[in-house]
Amino acid sequence: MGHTWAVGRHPLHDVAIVGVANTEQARRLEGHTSFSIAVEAVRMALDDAGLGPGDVDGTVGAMAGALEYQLRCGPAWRGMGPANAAGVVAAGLAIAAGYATTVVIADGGAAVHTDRAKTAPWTRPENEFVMPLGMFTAAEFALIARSHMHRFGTPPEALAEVAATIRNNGSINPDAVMTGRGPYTAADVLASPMIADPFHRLDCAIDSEGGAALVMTTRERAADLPGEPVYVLGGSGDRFGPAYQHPPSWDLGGRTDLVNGWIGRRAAEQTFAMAGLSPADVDVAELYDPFSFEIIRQIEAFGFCGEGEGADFVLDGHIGPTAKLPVTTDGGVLSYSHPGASAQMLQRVIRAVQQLRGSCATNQVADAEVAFVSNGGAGALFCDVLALGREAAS
Amino acid sequence: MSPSGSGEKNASGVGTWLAPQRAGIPTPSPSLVSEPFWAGARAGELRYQWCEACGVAVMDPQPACPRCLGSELEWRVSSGRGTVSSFTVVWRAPLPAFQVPYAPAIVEMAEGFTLLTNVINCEVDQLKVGLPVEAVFVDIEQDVSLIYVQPDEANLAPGHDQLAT
Repeated sequence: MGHTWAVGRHPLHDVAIVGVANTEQARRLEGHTSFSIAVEAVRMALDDAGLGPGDVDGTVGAMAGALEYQLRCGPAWRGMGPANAAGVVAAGLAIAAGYATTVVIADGGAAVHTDRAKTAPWTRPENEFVMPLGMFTAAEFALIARSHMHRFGTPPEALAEVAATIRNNGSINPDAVMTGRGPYTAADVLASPMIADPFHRLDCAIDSEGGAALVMTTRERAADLPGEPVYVLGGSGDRFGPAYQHPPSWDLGGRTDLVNGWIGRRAAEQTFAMAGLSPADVDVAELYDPFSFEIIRQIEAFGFCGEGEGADFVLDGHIGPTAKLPVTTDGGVLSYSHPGASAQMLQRVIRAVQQLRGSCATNQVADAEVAFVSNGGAGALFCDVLALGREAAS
Repeated sequence: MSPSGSGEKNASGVGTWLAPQRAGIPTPSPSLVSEPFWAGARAGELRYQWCEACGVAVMDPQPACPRCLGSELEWRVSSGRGTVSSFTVVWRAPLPAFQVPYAPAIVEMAEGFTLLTNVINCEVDQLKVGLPVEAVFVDIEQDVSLIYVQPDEANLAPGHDQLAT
């Protein structure tokens, strides 16, 4: 906050996304490991970009090292974070600064969640101050949701409306793991079994398997490639500490300015400033939806509506696929897929790229020019955002 | 107080009484910094750190004061009294070892620190933001005690629903 950039002068404006791909997503993908499905996504994304392994000189993600070796792309630059929206920012800055020319960001999950008596491994962080107390991701996000409900009177019906809307986006998406499930009403969500109050089963992310990859390069090089590039207009992230180790309270240690409850607001303000845009300019918001409530919190934090107005915004029908702010149009992690630790976050970026290219088979937002992307949430003490454009920042 | 399992049952036969957990759940692996907290739990004390210079109460245990980064933190014993600032009720546990329902909660303690714990010894529908609670120490297995909270009957405001008896 406080810093403004002349439009067109931010380093991220020198890069473009030139290839994206999701592999098949399914509850189980027999015969695959997390790495093999990630490699399949990389092959598809490079094909999409019109590039080959020899063009890559940078990688991002938990599998970056293995990918460097698989692609024999060294000496390469390696981003040190996960393959998600923050990874897109890291890769973009590295490309703009000349550390690499073409970066692959990839992740995948397969054959990881094998003990079905337990929730997925990524929902159960091991820490002495959470695990003995039965904490897992649903409870972490429920504690933030409860705080908001208490402060603003947010009703369970608003959470259910979010879940129904996004799950219905997935229901009509033939590529979604939950395709054909639904349609759901808010009443269906409220009637599903309680998992961690106020979250019912249909308020919670699914778990599944699949790969995702994205290719970035310089804006100059993008102009010579066969595909239609999508441009990074801005991006940033907010963090308050390690996820799932400390109580996910709204004000986290008594802060009164930018509290954990509004995590992502600073990042969004920075991102809009970089892009020279405001929330009103966003045509589609591919927001991260680990639990239904997080969407309500995010649209308030990012400035799409005022504090405490998220429930009315949702209940008034503003997040549907043809509404003023279509949200998570592929079904998100509630319905499309949730393949592990970070691929599902990268998938929000991929969907935004597809929206701006006009290539979505379902829920294509007409003439989408600007897409906003988020990852993470207040229950996890981090929130990353991106603004992408069909046109480059001028 | 009702014994475990005496609350109302829902359609699937699960009660609505919030009981402490039993042996078999994951137990803490204390660090050098946190060991005094866990030793306190075994001794029936809710211990927290205090920075004399700043007048700041610290939880969970840290190597330094979050305000001045001074390492001279003193261990103190909490009154155990606090107020629920947020809660959830878990009906689908992350591991089969956890007995549902249970109620993770964030509690603002009288001394000014925040405690992540579970509320026990009450009915699910007694939970609310603002509920006064007091610490209760439960031996889970040998050498492992957890610090939960239960409704603080002495501090219930007039007109507040009476606890189940």
